[in-house]
Amino acid sequence: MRPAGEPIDPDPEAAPDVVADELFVHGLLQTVSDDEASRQRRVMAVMAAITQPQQKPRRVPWLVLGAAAAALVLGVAGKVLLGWLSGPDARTLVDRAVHAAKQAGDRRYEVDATWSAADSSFTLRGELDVRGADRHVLRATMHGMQVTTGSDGGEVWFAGNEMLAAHLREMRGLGHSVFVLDKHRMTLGSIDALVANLAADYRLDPPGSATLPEHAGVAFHRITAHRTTSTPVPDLVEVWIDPGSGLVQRLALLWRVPPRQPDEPDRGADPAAGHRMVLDLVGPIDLPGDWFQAARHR
Amino acid sequence: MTKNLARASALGGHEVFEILVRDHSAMLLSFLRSLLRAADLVDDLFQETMLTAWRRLPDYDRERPFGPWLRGIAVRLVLKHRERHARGAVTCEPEVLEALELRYRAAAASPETFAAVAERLQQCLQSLPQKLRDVIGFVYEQGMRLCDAARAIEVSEEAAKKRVQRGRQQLAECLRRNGVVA
Repeated sequence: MRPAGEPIDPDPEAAPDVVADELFVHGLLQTVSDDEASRQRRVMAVMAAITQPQQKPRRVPWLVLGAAAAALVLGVAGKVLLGWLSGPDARTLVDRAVHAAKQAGDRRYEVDATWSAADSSFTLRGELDVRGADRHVLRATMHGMQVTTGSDGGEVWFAGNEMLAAHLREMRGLGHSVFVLDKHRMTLGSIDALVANLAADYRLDPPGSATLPEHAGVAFHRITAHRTTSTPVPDLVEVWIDPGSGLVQRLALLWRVPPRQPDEPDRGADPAAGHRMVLDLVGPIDLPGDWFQAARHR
Repeated sequence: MTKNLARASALGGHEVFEILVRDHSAMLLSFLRSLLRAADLVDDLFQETMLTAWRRLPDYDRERPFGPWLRGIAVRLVLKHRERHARGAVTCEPEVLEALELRYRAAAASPETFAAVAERLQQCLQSLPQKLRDVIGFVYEQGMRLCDAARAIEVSEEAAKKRVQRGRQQLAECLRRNGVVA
């Protein structure tokens, strides 16, 4: 659990006992899975504060503030000018891609995900079929084992290697269908939602033009998006949009690995390590009506 | 006197206090998160509560439990903050604060009890109906805003809000059935 995305807003008409119940559970839900490292940091911060003399905050000279403000104004002006000079607008392209996905119906993606943390690194490869926002089937190889998981709009089901399925089920936590990359989770059914929310959750770079080796001769619109919210979505998203169909051809998601804490042992990890997932559109596909039901895959 | 405090009483002041901070940090965080809207304010008041407790430690009656004393300091700091910033705290209604204190008193009689409550909550989560579990998960596990969670489950924001409320109420009921909530 983590700090809730939404502050609690109890019903002002409700009885004090009902409000207290809600507040109690609200606090508890955010705290039950606080990790040991953050707890430790809080304890250390308190102990450091009681053993160190208070320091007066340094004043920032007005000259520095003035220069910073001027740089900000110049930066904004430059950005606006660049916006005028650039061609197609990133937001418009993303809106078109969302519309195109809705029109396309069932779609199949190739999935290639790599975990790369301080002390472990492994991959997941497979195919992901999606229908709308809440139906999906993932058939993948992970740890050298086959696993199939999916949802037909209700409970998430698992098939394939029992050990791995049990592991995934445990990681699933509260019952969502999620990819778990280290501590980062991505709801499978939310791929379209992620694209639809790019403008809200990310800063979009002006689109550029790029090719993909598998699609020689096609100049895709390429957009890089940098996360700006605290919502636990990937830190960086790169999108390749097909100029003809308007569909997202490739979606590359990157979760950065936080830097090593001072109390953590140095395991010689690659400082550029991160978790990466690439989804390549195989194409719109006609899947049977019951494709997303568990019975089809057991 | 709590078991840990008894164990620590032979140690110096800092060592005793560090044990108290470790033992009660989860409970205090949960309590502040119950009352405050913003995560950074929770962190600020957590620190301020612990520092106030440190300064007043000589006044603390070691025959009484430490948790309620700590929450008393926290409530005073929340009320003080509320005087300056009206939107910071969720509520400062005395009846609600009293009812909330009763719940924490039962759930956090000791640090061990509080850890057991957290485990029980996880079990209660599994017994929630799927649609309530989903929205609770989006908001609390994934830290989504309500409007994003509503979009993800394809319902209106108002409907998502009602589901979160129902989920919290059913979890409280479940904890009560298990003898956790007073």
